[in-house]
Amino acid sequence: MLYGILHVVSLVYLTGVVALILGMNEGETPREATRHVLGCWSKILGGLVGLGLVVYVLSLFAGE
Amino acid sequence: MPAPSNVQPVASPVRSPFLIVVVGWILPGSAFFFLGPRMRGRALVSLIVIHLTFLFGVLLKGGLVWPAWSLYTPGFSILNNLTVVVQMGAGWLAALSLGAHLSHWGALAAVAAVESHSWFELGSFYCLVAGALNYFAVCQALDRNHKKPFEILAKQ
Repeated sequence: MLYGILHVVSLVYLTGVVALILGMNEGETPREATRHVLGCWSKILGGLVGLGLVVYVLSLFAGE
Repeated sequence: MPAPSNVQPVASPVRSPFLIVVVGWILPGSAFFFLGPRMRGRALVSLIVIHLTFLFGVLLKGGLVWPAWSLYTPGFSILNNLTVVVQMGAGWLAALSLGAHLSHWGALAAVAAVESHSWFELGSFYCLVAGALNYFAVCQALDRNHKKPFEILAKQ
């Protein structure tokens, strides 16, 4: 169970880190930069979770 | 709209791209330090974040593993080669991890990758992300260095 939790935490952390570096230079003020970072983080995380769901649904039809 | 007469535009100094690339690569996250005092906060954040990410990767027993480069070697995998190339973006951290793996020194055993460990792949992925982020940070710094806006200072 720890292995699964580690992967979930890693997903959140790594997407946050990527969003931080990508989005931090988008705004001139800290407030704008924070907005960009949070927006970028939600998009990356949402996209990856969506992809994971698609893969999970497809795996149900794997036939094994 | 024309600038008021009491405002004097000041061009920020443009740094050598070579310096930004070399120092930014060796010390991950430091590329933004060359862009002036206004970027220092961001430089510090990127330096800390990239170092922390690589450190987490090492704590998960991940790291750089020297791959097989010859196509005829049985263990050859292009993914391993690309992984190492991207991980090398982390500069001194990557060099330390690779050195620990290749040298088998006891003193560096704590930072060497353990391929047989169950968390090795996840840890190596953290190192990969750290390397890729530094590549991106250096490119962003180069881009901003080239297109730096003028800073307007109002005369007192």
